[in-house]
Amino acid sequence: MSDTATHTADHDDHHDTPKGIMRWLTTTNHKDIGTLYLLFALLMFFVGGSMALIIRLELFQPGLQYVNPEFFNQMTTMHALIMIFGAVMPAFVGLANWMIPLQIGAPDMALPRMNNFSFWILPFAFTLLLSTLFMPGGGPAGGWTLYPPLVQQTGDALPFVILAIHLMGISSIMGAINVIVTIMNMRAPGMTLLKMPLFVWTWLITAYLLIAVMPVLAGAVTMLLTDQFFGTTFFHAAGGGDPVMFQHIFWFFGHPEVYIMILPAFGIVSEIIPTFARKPLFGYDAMVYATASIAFLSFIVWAHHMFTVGMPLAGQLFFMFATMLIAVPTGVKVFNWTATMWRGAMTFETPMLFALAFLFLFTIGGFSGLMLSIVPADYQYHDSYFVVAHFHYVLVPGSVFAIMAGVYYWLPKWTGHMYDETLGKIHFWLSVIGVNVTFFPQHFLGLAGMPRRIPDYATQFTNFNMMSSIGAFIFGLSQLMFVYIIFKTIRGGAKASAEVWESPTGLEWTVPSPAPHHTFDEAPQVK
Amino acid sequence: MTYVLHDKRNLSVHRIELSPNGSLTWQSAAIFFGSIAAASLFIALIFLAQGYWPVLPFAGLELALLGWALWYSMRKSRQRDTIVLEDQRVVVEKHRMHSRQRMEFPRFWTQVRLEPAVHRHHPSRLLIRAHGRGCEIGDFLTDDERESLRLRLAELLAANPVLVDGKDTTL
Ligand code: HEM
Ligand SMILES: [Cu+2]
Repeated sequence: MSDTATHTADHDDHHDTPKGIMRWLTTTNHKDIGTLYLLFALLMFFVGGSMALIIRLELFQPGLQYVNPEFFNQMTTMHALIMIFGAVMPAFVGLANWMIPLQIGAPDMALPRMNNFSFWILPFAFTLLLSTLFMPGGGPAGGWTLYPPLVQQTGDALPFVILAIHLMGISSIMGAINVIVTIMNMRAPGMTLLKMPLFVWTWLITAYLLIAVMPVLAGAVTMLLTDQFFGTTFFHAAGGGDPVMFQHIFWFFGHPEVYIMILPAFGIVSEIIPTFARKPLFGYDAMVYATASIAFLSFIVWAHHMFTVGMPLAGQLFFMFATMLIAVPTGVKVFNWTATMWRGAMTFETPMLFALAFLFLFTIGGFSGLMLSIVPADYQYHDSYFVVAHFHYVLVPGSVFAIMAGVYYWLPKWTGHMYDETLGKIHFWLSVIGVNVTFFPQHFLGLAGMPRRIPDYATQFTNFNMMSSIGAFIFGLSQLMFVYIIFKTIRGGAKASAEVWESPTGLEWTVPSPAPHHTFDEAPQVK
Repeated sequence: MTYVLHDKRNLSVHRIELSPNGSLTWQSAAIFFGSIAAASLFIALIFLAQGYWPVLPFAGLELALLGWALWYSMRKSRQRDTIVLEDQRVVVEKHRMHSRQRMEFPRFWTQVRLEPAVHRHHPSRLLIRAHGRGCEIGDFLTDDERESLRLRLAELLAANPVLVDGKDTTL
């Protein structure tokens, strides 16, 4: 018998509750950790965003004005790595931490201490990554895809970059394991799989994808390291290795990775649209199955990123058709969101505005993806600004807008205060305009032949580049508003009711305390 | 969270059993783990067959961690708190992963108190005690559940009547 849980008189009934910074370093509380992840993501959004602005500044005019090409290439590489692993993914993990336990009726995540660890790895990983900018030879500059042999020309930074990627991978994996175990084992009685909110569903499937592909990334970067320092020749043509195999391995990870960055966004939007259309989600089951099919298909389309490296005709056809097939479940989703709004009593608060922009603009990204999947067309589009336009449409007004929608939607729940609706709407409109002015012209640039990842360009591309740069500064600067709105809401504002919105669904909105008397004799209420 | 409530009112013995959520059975956990392991290992083995063996150890490590996490979480969900309210005494039994604890309180003097968290968003704590001795119960429940449990316990204790939060609730 142990009496660790025994407490004596009133005053020392408290656990030792660490204060100040120690509280955040040692916390195992899912809400604290969710907050940490979200704030970290916000910080990285600005770090990566500043790099994007350096890129756009240089590209405002042809010629070299502000940075040298080596540094420019470090910026494109770092921007991508930071936005993917530092901003979008941690933001989703933060939302998962905050919302999944609430949505499934669990008191916390399944593995609270691992949760703390998986967050605190991230600051180290990104400090390490950023520090490579100051090393001899500079940071990585061969693109976030790290293709050999180009990446092998990185200076002293290479092993540190690889270590940083390993750390990010460890963090993601621990995050994914925590999410998956929480969802599988911590659901309240009555919360069967097909009653789970869609955010939970999409995260379950995302975590599955992460677990399937993170070892592939870890293996790939480790092989880069051993090729460089330990004399292996996995990707060295001279030693009998095959550099193209790296691309296959990388994209076997990389394509599911892009879905890892969009599935939770689908989940968020599926929560928000029904609330503001005041109708239940149209086709819940279809949404779940569509998500699962997208996840499955994401394993068999990877080579659409490498049509131009050469592969057998049968391979090209297979990857082309498999890629096009993804449009089917994606179309189901877009249809269902639209049908949810059909004849709904819609209102347009900030979360809904972001969700609607997501719906329209993500679809544009889906269409350009479809264009890219056509092999003969991709021969022209590949490595051009058209690809840049495509993935920014799916990632910025796609993933990032969904995250912002989620933040506005749940912020009142987190802080107990309502955000400033007027400011939220201004932030929204500036963002939508900024995003479209930035990325739409990039379609034209790509179709006209401007290659991606270059610091200088032929003069006929000037006008669209200027537009794009102006849009980027509008978008980038308007994000300062986002920060202002968030901190303003944290510090005060109109009190938010427990339900916050008129008719949200899900356990996270149920009345907090005092809970009705009888709830305890019954199983928790899952409707 | 689950409450299993055996409220044997007619015997004037109330037995309340609390347990955390545990939505997995060992069988479904095995199927679930098997399906992930199969996918992950299948991928790693294909790379191995092509000569790219470094994927496999990472997949192995990761699956080991996942397996441990599932096992740990399922063991944790076997925790139990039992509160038995008899005529003269209240017996609290806590079954934790590494410990078992049993405490008895004279019913007339027993109080339940919900302590709000020191930090916003942290869980509240439900304490049951008498004569300066006490323990925490239901730490694996959600805040709402702890609140309703407090009300329920207060109601049962008051029926005697006793002091709840220092006030005689029957007055
Ligand atoms: C209908 C769905 C989609 C289709 C058919 C599609 C198709 C494609 C194709 C064929 C490429 C390769 C273009 C090239 O390099 O020549 C590509 C690139 C890319 N896609 Fe998509 N895509 C889709 C959705 C998405 C989503 C949802 C995301 C992320 C949220 C995404 C992110 C990316 C990224 C990041 C790249 C560029 C990677 C790089 O080379 O750096 N795509 N897409
Ligand atoms: Cu892809």
